[in-house]
Amino acid sequence: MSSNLPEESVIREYLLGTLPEQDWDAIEEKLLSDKEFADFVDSIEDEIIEEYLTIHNHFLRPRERQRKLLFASVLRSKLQKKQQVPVPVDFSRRLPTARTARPYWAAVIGAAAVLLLSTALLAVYTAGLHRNLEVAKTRTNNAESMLAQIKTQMSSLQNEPRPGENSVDIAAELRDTGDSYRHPFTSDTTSLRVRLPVDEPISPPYSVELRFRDPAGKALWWQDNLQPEARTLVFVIPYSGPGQYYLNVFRRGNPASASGKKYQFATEQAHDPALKH
Amino acid sequence: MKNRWTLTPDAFNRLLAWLSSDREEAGRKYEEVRQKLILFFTKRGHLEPEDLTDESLNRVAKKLESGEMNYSGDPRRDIMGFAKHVSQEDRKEPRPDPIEDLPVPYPLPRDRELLFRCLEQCMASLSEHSRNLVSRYYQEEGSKKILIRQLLADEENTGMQTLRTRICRILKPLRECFFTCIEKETAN
Repeated sequence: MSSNLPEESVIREYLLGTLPEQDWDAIEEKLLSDKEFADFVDSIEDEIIEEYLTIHNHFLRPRERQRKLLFASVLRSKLQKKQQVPVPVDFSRRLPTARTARPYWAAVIGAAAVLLLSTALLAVYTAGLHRNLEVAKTRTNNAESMLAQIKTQMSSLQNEPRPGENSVDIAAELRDTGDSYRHPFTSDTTSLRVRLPVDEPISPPYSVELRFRDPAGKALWWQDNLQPEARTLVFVIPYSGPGQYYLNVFRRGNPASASGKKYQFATEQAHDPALKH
Repeated sequence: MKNRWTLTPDAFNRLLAWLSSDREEAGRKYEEVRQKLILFFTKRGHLEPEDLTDESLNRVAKKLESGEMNYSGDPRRDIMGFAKHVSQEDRKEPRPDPIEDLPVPYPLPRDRELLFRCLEQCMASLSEHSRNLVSRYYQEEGSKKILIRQLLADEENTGMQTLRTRICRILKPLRECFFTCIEKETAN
C-alpha cells in the first residue's frame, strides 16, 4: 500500500457520506484496485460499526438522549421534506463589501475558493466533532445486520437457562384479565422467566416494560424488539423481591404505548401458607 | 429503482463477448466486475448493492444490444460510468423513514402524523428568525449540510461553535414543547 493514501478521517467521511462528491472517485478507484487499501477501508468500517454499537448500547441508554434522538429525527425528517422549496441562502452576504467592486468573475472565483477552502477545513474539523452523532444516524446495512444478529443471539441466549441464576417460569396462564396472580419464590430468586401468549397470527416485534410496586412509577426494566416464538413471548425479568409487579406489553410502533396490554402479579416467599395461585 | 428491461440470453452473451472474446475469460471478468460493483455500491452506502449491480450491468447489456456502444476501450471503465449513474439515481430515491427504525431501546411514540403535527405547532411558536435558522440548519444532509451550516454561521457573523450553541438553545425549549404536545395528544 502506497504512502499517499487518503487520511483515515477522509475515508471515514466517505463511508459516512459527508465527503464532498468530487472526492469520491479517488477513493473508489483505489478501493477497487488495491486489495490492501480495501482492507484498510474495511477496518475503518468495522470501527464505525463498533462506535455505532457503543452509541446504541451505552450512549443512548439515558432516556433523555433517546428523547433527543427522536426529536432530532423528527426535526430532520420534517425539515428535509421541504427540500423541494429550499430556504434561499444569500451567497452575496459572504462577500465583504470591498470585494463587490471587483469584476464579477473574480468575485465568483474568490467566493468559490473561500467556499472550497472553508468547506475542506470545516469538513475535517467537523468530522471529529460530529463523529458520534453522524455515526448514530448512519444506518448502514452492515450495522443493521450485525445488530439484528446480536439481537437474535441475545434473544436465544435469553431463552436458555443461565448458570447460577434461579429463574422461575411464571407460566403461560398469565393473561390480560386484570387479575393479580400470586407466585411463590425462594429468597435466592434473581430473575423470573415469563412466557406470555400473544394472540395475533402475524406479530410485529413487541416491547415490554416492567414496574415494581408503583404502576405509574419509573420502569424498573424494559426490552424492545421482542419476537414471539410459536405465538409466545419469552423473556427474563429481574426479580426485586416480594411485592407487586406490573408488566406493560405493547407493539413496537404503536404510539399509544400506554394502551398496550397490562399484566400484574404479586410475589411472596415460598413458605407463605396463605399463598394461592 | 424501476427496471423495465430484462436481460435476454442474447444480450448476456453480447455482454460477455464484450468483456472478452474467450468465453471462459469473459465469465471470470464478468464475475470480477460484478463483485467490484457490489463493493462499490456497498461502500457508497446503498441499501441494495446487488440490485443496483444488476441494474448497471443490464444497462450496459441494453446499450450493447442497441448498438449504441462500441466494443473498444476498457469495458470496466465504461461499466463504472453506468454504475455511477445508477448510484446517482438511487440516491435521489426517497430514503426509508428514520423515525420508524430509530435505534432506541426504550419505547417512544412513532406516529408520524402526531410527531409532525407537534413539531409544526411548536415551531410556530418560535420567532421568525429562530424558525428560519433551525429550518436551514437541518435542511441538508451529507457534505451539503456542512456547507450550508458554514454559510449560516457567516450570515450570523459568528463561528460554527457559536452557531451550534445558538441552535442548541433554540432546540431546548422546542423539544420540551414537542414532548409536552405528544403527552397531551396521547393522553386524549
